[in-house]
Amino acid sequence: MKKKKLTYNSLALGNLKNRKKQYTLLIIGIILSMTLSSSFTFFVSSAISSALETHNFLYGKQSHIIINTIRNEETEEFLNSNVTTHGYAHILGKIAAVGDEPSTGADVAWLEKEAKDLYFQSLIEGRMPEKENEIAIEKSALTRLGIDYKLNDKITFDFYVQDADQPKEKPIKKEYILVGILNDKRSNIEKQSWVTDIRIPAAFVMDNTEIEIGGKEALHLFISNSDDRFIDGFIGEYVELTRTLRRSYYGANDGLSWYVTGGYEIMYTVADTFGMNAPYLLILVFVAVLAVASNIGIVNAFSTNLKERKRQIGLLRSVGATRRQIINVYGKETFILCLICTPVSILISIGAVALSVSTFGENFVFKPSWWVLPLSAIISILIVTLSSFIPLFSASRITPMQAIRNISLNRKIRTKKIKTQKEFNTSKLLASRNIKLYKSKQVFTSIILAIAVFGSLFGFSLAGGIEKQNRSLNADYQIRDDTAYETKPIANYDWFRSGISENDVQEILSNNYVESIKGEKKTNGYIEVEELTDYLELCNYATGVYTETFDGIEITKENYEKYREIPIENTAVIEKANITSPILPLDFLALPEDTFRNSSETVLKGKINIDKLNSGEEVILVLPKTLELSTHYYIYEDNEELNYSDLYIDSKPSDLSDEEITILKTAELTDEFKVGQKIKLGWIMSNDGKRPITYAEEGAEPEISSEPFDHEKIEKEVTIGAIIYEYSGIIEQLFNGYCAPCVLTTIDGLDTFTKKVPYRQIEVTLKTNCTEEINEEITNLFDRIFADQNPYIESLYEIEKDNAITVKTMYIIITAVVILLFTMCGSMINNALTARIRESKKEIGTLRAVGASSKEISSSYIRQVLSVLGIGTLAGAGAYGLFHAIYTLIILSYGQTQDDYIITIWQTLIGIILLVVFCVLNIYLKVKKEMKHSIVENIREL
Amino acid sequence: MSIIECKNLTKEYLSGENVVVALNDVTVSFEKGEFVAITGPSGSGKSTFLHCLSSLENATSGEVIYNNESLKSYNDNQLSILRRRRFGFVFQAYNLVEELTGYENILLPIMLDKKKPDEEYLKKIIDILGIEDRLSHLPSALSGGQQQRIAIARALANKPTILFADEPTGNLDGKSGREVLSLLKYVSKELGVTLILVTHDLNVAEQADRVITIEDGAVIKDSKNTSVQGE
Repeated sequence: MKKKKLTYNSLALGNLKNRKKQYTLLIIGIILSMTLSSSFTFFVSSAISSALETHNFLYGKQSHIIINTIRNEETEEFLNSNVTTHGYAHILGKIAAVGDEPSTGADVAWLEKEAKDLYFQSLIEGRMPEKENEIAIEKSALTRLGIDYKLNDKITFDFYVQDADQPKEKPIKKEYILVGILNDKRSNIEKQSWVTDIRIPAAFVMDNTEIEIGGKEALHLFISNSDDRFIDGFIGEYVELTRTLRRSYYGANDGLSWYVTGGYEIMYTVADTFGMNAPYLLILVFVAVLAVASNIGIVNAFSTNLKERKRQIGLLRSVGATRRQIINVYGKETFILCLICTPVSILISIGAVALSVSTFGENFVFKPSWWVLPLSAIISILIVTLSSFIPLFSASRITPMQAIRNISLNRKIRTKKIKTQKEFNTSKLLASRNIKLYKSKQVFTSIILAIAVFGSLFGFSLAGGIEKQNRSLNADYQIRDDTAYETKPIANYDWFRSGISENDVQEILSNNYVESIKGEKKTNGYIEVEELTDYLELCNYATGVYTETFDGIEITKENYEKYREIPIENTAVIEKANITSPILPLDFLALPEDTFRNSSETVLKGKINIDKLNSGEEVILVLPKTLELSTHYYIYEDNEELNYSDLYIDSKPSDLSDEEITILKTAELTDEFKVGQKIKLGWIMSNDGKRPITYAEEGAEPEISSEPFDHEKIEKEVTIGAIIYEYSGIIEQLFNGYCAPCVLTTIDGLDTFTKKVPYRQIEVTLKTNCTEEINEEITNLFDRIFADQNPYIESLYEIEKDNAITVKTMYIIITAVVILLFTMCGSMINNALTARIRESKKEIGTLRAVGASSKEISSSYIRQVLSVLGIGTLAGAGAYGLFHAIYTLIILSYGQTQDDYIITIWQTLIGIILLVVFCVLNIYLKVKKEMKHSIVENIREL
Repeated sequence: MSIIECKNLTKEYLSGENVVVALNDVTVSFEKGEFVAITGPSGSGKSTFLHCLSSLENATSGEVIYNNESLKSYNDNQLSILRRRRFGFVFQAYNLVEELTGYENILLPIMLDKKKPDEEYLKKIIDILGIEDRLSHLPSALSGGQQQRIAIARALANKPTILFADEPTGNLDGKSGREVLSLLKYVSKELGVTLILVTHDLNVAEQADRVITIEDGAVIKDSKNTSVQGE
């Protein structure tokens, strides 16, 4: 007969074979732990891939696009030695809908192969152009060119042929067949950029298409560098090189602009796709917590396993096994377990992550990198092996006799202070003694349960809050054009007053789905005053009259006194408008009637009479009782050149403890205005029409002409119906809490003075519930109406859709995680108590012998279960309560309310109840099983 | 008058595929206040006999009659109540509950019965057993002899009518063994308790009123010990 050699491996394998039953639970625990740690790795990797994928899909793979570049041997040589990939777009001109402004159109180009790869074009439908007069256009560009175009439509455009740097001013007519609709790139890049008119192509024609006769194509360079560290330096050098070349070839240094989408952009996209999205972060945190918790579970499971085998360890030690040999035998066993569990765990985690990722929406893809697989395996094996070594080291330290006679337990009991009870409930006393004597084990379980309870309360409450935020918008759509804010005091320039016009509103209203529109208007005006008191002077700062007075001047108390009486801004306008008496320039704000009806808490004098506001008979003045002008000095320790000071006007006194704040002036409202007083209001409306805006450089503030202009002066006498000292409710929300001096009235009221003021914001309500089709129609309508503007549009439908995905994802993840944590708690409690029951067979027998019934014995164990669960639940709930209290205090200290945050407990409660039922039932059955044996069998077992 | 008796008690169990007969048709009766030693060689079935008689183990056939009532009809709960109220047990390995102190171990059957402890009676037992200063200790802090005295006190705490002792001196040295035995004898006589004691030590058996010898699961000898009776 062939004899088998006795090695550590054969001993370890023998252990595994002989204790199959005991190992089943352990293996499940190991798989769980490994699955969680590899899921974490897979998830992180997928998140990064998804972010990059999304970035490529939205913006393209290129890190930079250099607009209007030049191409020759020198640039090619420079590019070949400095960047990984580069390719060119040939810009042939610009198309726009016939008769429309060219700014609403799209640049037409064809891309060289490398540029095509970098731009990562993807078709929604159709194909790329293959013949002359075929065209493929990006989706949003197509909407701007006119809606309702379908594939294979013949479309005639105004074609502005490219003439080197810019398209020609006069268009020609050109007919194209629409063969493809592409996913957006240009508009996505535009959204991320401060550049208002990006000359990135959004319409594409056949490769190698020649430019129209008389034109000169422009070249855009797409580049990508595998090493982003050098790209910024490279850009600087490249721009210098091309400038030099351009000078020598064309004798001009203008026309070269560059636009950066790389480096920061990738970071931003990662944030957009992943980091800024709370659920994804939550998932990561939860999975990380779970991975840690599951490893605590592994430590516990190994510890229970080894405890049961203490006698075996003792026997091995007594026959001469060293600590190292013991660790070797059991370590090998763990390693073999890891090898068995690793492929299973990795397969499960691939499935689980792929499945959960599929619920996160199209932006999230399961695409882990190749190195994640071995990394997950190594991490999993390392974590589990390390977890198993903690109890193994402690078990290997015991002496043979300790192991065989369980002396360590006796020693432990001896060290505890026990007070003899003169009368007691047996099961209660036994339970409390066990809890006291085995506290360290139960603390572990209680911590995990506390984490589960805290996580469950936090997660479900957060998800509930986000779900509630669905209703954060008052109407189906909100459109805001903030450019109206930028108008200068007193004068209202037509060309700088885009806003939302009455025509726009009527066009939206004419859509069949739209029921009503509510809006707000804002304009500049003035009130004639007898004299400019200190208070009124400060009001001027609130409306920005003096802002430019201090441009380039360090704002100190001395300089303030020196320059404060020179309001540069209005001088020319006041002269032109022939205003002779002192005036107080103020913002005029027209709000929907409801706003006034819902603002009963506002502190005011007088009465808000909506009829009189509507008729233009009365207005409301908003005048905070105190105004304080201060200068805030911003210090940048790293770069002194960035240090600057700014003026601040506020209705609340500043915090003087801040050394960087200097109060320049404080003034109280006295009797400048009274309720019932008649005042003269005025507006200066320009009649210049739309004029082109000039910029000193790209991205700079628009240049505003101080030239006298053709204007209309409107003046009207009105009565002060009420004076508001302090905002509250809805009106407060409009101003973000800052009470700025202004004139308030209703939309109808403002229209009685002048109808030229556009809406700065409108809220559109639909007749029916919004659907995907309706939303698309309405969004296309907005795109068309606001093609030459860039208003901020919010859609309740899309917010709800996004939120629904977010909330669904959160609920899935939180529920899964909470179930896992609770299951883990359950298995830890049951492992520990099952082991205790097995260990305590003799005690059970003794108790039975002296007359304890099965009820009393199971009751003792059930009390222990309830105690561990109770402590864990209370600790978790207490920690959450504390967290919530601190959170509330912080929120309140910032003067905010937490209406959207609701504490949701029912899911947690169900989890705890199920856990209790499961544990109690399991323990009861285990005790019952022991009770099936005779008392003598119980006693003899040990 | 017999306080407990067994009729045709048989106990069989499986050892692998073989049926082992541990007790074979044993019929014995015990008088109130009697001190009976059950003796025999190792594996003869004496402990099994004690376990079946005291309801710690169910017999395969036959019946145990306590106070003229057959225990066959008793359910688990009724047997528990009987054990806590009427029987006391002393084991070779003491079998104290590790988590409870000496005094709590003694109180165990009383507390299980939800009764008020008879302080005077308990004090008397504790005095007789000489364990007054060991009451607040956990079993792990006590010697074997001290643990066995606590076990005896626990067995007597609820004023049982029968005290079953399974090799009570087996784990003790000679001196402690003798002390424990004389205490058992003294206490049972003093309190009028029937003492049924299993031992393989003939010196111990000699001190009983009656000695039953078991061999191969059957009673081969049941004799009164005249020398002891005369003491």
